[in-house]
Amino acid sequence: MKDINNNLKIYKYYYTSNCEFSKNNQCIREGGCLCSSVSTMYAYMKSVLPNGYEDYSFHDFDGFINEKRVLDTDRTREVRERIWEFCYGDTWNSIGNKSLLKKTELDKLSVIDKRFSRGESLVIYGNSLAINKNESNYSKISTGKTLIASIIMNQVIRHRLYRSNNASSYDWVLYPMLVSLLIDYNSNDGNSIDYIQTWNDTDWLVVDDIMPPDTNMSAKQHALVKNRLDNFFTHRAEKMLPSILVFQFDIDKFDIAQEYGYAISQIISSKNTYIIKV
Amino acid sequence: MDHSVEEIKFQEELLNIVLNDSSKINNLLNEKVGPNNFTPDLRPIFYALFHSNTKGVALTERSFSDFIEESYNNGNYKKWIGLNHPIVQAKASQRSKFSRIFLVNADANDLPVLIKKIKDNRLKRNCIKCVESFNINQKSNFKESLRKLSHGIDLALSENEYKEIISWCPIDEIGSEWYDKLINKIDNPEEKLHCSISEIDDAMVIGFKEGTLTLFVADVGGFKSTMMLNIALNIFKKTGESVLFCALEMPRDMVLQKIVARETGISFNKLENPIMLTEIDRVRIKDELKKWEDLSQKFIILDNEERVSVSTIRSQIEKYKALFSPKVVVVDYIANLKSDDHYKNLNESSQYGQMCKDLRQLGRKEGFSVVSAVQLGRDAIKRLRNQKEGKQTVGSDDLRGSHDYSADADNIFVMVPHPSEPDSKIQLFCVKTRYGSKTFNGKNSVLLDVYPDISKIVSNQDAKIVWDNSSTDKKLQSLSEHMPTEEDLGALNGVSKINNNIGLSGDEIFGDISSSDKDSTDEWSDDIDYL
Repeated sequence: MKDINNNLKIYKYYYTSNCEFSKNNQCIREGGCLCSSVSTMYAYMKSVLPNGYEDYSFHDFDGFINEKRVLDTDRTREVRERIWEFCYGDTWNSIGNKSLLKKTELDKLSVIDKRFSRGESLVIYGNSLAINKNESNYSKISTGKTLIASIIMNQVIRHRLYRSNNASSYDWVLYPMLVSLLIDYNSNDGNSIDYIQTWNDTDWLVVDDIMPPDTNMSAKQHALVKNRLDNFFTHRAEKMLPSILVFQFDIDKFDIAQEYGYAISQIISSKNTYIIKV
Repeated sequence: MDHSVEEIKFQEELLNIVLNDSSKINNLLNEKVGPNNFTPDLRPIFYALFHSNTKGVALTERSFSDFIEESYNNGNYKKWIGLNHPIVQAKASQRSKFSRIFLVNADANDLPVLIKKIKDNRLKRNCIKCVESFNINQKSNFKESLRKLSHGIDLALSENEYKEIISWCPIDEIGSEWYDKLINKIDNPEEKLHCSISEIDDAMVIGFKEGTLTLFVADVGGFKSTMMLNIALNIFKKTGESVLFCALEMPRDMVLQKIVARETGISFNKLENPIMLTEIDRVRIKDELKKWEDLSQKFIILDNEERVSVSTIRSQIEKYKALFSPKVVVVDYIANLKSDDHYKNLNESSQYGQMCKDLRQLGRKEGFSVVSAVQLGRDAIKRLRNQKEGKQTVGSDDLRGSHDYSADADNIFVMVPHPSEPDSKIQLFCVKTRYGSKTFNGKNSVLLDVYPDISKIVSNQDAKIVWDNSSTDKKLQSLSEHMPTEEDLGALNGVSKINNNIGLSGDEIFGDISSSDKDSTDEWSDDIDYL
């Protein structure tokens, strides 16, 4: 789990320096400490979300990345509607000009707490890889999947401010690292044990950069990886902990159970899982 | 039964000896001669003698007069005498008694004889009282009266020597007495002793009740001593009850430093390096120390040069019982105690179990609750952190050193630093509570705020939005609208000042904010085919 201490210190200093209720390193405000609440929230955003993705909300998904259009307008609208539904439920049609809503007004519509209590996972997928016609290698193309995951996680972490929130732990891991640590897990490597046990029980976990099946892997290693992934995600599913899986390819074109194991395949096909295709 | 003339004479001689040599008060305490051995109107002089002895001075007429005035004002005088004299009469009466005792011509060599006579007289008086009570009540209920007579005599004898007391309590006989107490509680609700950390108080339900043992379990450096100190200080300051803190882990001055840090908000680091203290800090410290002098309840630190046993603690409590009755005794912590002789040959875990039992029993007898700590095994800590939703368990083999802790403690709380905020939050789990619930409003654990630099632990104080349009809601909504930028953070006071204040380097503050390799800036190109 990410240690937010350094970022927490920075934000706490920022807020308490201007706070009339901060006296002798303590808060004397009746009704609770505002500085600590917002500092902790921002510290988690800064520590957990990838660099540059800390402060994105629904309004930021507009089909453009770095001022370049990556999705056409129709597709963008469809994806925005899906993001909205995951975060704010079935209110897409009842809210007019969504761009006028402030973040806290959006929070009022949020159904993230319900998603968490029901352990509803999210799968984001779509092509990110293309063969350049002039060369035979892959180029990675941005389509906004990581951005979508960041928007969702931003909303999730914002919920720390609300009394109704029940989640307290968040993490973001790249799929290659997860696999590497899962392989090392049973070899008594203390580091991998710590990480895997933590991620096993993290309330909201993003697994990003799930690449297409590696055809160079041996059958034995492939079986091992599938087995470890099954154990990992089955544990999370049993505890009803939501996972956000970001696939960098079109999962409809692959046998996910065959390539990644039964547990991930179950997450994708579960009626409790929300799918966003980009 | 009133004290006879001869008895009063012995008491006055005894007091005269102590008046002339204040060190003799220790002889009285060692022989368990306390204020109840004296007639009520002589008890103030006894208390005054003890008070002056603790100050290291002899009792003079002037200091006695001041003592009487203070005791009258804080209500003690009325408790000792049992009468509601006006202050003028109280002072005059006691002055007269003091003069009389001063003029008694007692021989110091008679001290042992006088002590024996006074104790025997008290024994005789108590036994006669028991017999008189028996004579009155035996007509209505002979068996119960006989039982009470036997119990009363046993109790009277035990005041002269240490003796185990047991009661034989058939429920058909004690049921009505219990019911009367229950009904009495409706009109006179029992004041529960709370530690003001609501999560702990709510879990325990009955408060820090006498005869209970509460354990706090954590890893090395897991804030065990800090938690116990906070509980002790909260009870001391907020409930007005006395506390005994057995500082077996830290020397007295360190304990005091932690107390001052907590109460003044001045960091431990500054107190350790006093050259950093400002004039305001010094004034704050002095003001805090002054406050303690004005309190009627006491916070006593039991400081030891060698390891102590439960018996040592017992003897100290009994020695000062007449003048100091703690409601909570903190032992920091059980594994630092030495075994008493009668169980030192047992294995380690059984020794700790015996200590727990003895402490609980001592608490029951003397009317206090015991708070202590135990170290937790590392595997258990990791497991607790990773288990969820009612599946967290602590077994007897998880508490390092004893299988008996779980059985003997009334309440067991486990503390684990929060994985993401280890310097500012503790996760508190309740793994055992004899009278309450192990969950916190349905949740398996709660967060507490910890301020390590001032040794303070409090309930989590983070404000939350509850959608009630309060000022808290509005303010939080406003603050959460815009995340501070790097410029905002840097512009506050300059990076170097932030750096100095929070101890982080520039890289640590802002990190590497170059663009990530995600969603690369590859061109959108028609030359590219998709998989």
